[in-house]
Amino acid sequence: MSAGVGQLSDGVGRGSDGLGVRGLTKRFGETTVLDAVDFSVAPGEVVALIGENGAGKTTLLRVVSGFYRPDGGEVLVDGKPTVLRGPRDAAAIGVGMVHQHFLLIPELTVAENVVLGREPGSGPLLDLRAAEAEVRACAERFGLDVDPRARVGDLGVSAQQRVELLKVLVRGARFLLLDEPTGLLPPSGVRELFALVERLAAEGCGVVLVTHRLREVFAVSQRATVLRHGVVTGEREIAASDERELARLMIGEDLDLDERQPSQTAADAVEVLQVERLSVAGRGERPAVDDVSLSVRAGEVVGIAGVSGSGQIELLEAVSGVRPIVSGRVRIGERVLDGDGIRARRAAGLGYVPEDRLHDGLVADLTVAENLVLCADPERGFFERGWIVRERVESEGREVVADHDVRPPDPDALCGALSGGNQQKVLVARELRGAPRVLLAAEPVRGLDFRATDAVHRRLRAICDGGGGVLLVSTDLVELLEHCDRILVMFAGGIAGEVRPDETSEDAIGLLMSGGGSAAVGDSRG
Amino acid sequence: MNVVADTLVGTLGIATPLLFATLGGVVSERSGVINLGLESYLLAGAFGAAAGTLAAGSLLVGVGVGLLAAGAVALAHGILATRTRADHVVTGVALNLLVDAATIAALVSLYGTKGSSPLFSDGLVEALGASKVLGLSPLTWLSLVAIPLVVVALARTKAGLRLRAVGENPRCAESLGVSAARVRLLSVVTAGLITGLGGVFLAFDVGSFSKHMAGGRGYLALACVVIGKWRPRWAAAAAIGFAFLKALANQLQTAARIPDEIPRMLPYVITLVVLSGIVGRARPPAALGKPLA
Repeated sequence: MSAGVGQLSDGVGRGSDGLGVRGLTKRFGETTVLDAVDFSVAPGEVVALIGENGAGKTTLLRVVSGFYRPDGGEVLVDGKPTVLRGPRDAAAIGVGMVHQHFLLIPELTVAENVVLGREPGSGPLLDLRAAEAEVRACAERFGLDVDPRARVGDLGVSAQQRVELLKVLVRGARFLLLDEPTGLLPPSGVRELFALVERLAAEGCGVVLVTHRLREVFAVSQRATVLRHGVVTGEREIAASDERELARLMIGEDLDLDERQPSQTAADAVEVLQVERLSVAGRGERPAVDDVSLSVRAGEVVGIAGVSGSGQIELLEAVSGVRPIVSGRVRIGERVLDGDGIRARRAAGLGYVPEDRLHDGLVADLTVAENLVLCADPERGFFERGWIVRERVESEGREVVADHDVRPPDPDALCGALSGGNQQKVLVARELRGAPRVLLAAEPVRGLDFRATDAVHRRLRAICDGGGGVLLVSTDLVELLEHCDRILVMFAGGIAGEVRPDETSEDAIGLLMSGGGSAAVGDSRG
Repeated sequence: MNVVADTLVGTLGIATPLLFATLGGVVSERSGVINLGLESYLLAGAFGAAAGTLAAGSLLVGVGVGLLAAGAVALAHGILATRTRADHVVTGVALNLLVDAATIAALVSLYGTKGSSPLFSDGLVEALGASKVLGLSPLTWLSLVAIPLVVVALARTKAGLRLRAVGENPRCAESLGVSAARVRLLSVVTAGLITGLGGVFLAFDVGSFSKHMAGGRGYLALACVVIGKWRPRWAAAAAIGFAFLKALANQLQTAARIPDEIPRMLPYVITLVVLSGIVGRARPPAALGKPLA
């Protein structure tokens, strides 16, 4: 630790101005999440805070924004040790945080969300007009396009993030903490966000950007602090560093970033999944999925891109059988599944990794082993005449935990107690153990770190190598471009175009995602 | 003609305690606290009103003691709902049983009876009669005025915005410096005071307290909250609607021989229908019944 501290004292941006922590330690129960961490951000500076899942990045942000109390060390505001008794204290000194999972109230309007806690109006009365005017003025000042009277629940993800930003901006933040802000944004949204970050920094705001996408670090920040297992492993000026170095600091070893092996899918390979003219009801008049046809051939990973809410999740849910189909048909292998349920689909060789892994994919209160055998094929012998065969379940648990590097390697651990990455490993493992012909995966690596991400992608590829196919929904274009053989772009419930990763660009896909660029469709198909 | 007038006056009389309890229920539930304890607030309010009036010989003191009793029960309920992770449904029902038993115990120790308190003196009964405005108790008028008051308070005040915010997402409210626990506690106590007025009305209407006096109105009020989809004006409309049906049934009962159980059953049947989603979707506050972490 002493070496780290010595290195840091030479670091940049360490003036008396700014927000920081010194010797910060935070424990949850017996786990030490942050261990004697030093960190700071100066006014006008953009600092990237990077690290693997569970490295302690979000915890650090939550300490400086007043959500958690430190167990050791102190928070420094302009050089002075400061006790934050809650988010209110942090807000008072100008710390604003944009949470990874937005803290918004869908039922309320934009203006109501933004002014909550510091409402304008005389006496007990709330002056909604003044609130709307304030929000509108702030939105215009920072070039954020939001209607103050809109209900937040009716807004798309990008707009919701703008509301989150507005909440911070109207409070006149001196320090802006962004926790994984780009995960849900299309490329244009990321550019807009970074332009705003640069502008705020130019106006003297200190910005902390938590991310696991190294490219973003280089796009916008001047300095990077790397956390690993709750310890600062390095602090680098961006101009004097590179991705490889930062990656090494993050994972503690050189990363084996092997190049993707594009599978050689013959055009005449057998179709393992065929979806014909599928439509799914939406919330309002407009269908969520509108007359979509697609196919996945053996050995193929087919990606579905789109701004979240374009119907891709509904499409996957309909194919998997959890969401009713209005019209159209689904064929898995040779089996046409008209009106058949989930059981029939699984029997035909369908695996499904839902978007919300803990909510829809696993049972948090069951153990890893129990989750693994939840929906297993009866032929795999976990049950006999309705009784659980303990030895079989236990051996399955042990095998999976070892094969899939689940940590802690305890098949009897409750799934809810695992980190997100390890939950995903369990979920993916369960679906793979059924040897699916087709795997549907929605955002399978969201929130996962390098290694877990790599592990999941290898497993997807392994299905293809075994003659299966994968339908992969992701809002991360880089992921799709790197791992898919074909990418379908969805817009407003329909397929806006199909592209091949080696013949397209993020921008071209971004255009399709936003409903523009039919020319690009022609190009890529030609 | 007389029948119509009787039905209308009857409706408003029957509606009064139900309206107060319904509005109290809306206030509590919109802040995220499931309120099955409305019945206990009514009982406490009624008992306090009767005991206070009898002890001091003053109706105003009765109102004060009634509000105090209902407020105290609600405070206990609010503390349980905000400081512990106790299940809201269980605490509410437990409170109803507890207060029901407590009022009977108090009847025994104060008045030596298990059934009901002594009747108010003739003077007090006269005073109650004299206080009527256009033939209706001032409390009835207050219950009607309370509808727009609650509507405005929820939609157009700072406290109302915070209450709604906490009912939807307490963590978000906390992050903006709003104490979710305090908002919920105050909401439940406010619900207790509003509902307590309904209890006071029950005691004043009869001129005494008798056991089980709330008679399931608390549960019925909760049904109104659900049927009104947690919006005060629709919940109030539901309460008045049920009161009207009851008044109508009272009028017709002798003539048409409708069994009393039919109109009494109706609210719950409608509640089930609403909850089943057949008639539009009832969307409760997102954080309803979720304890604060």
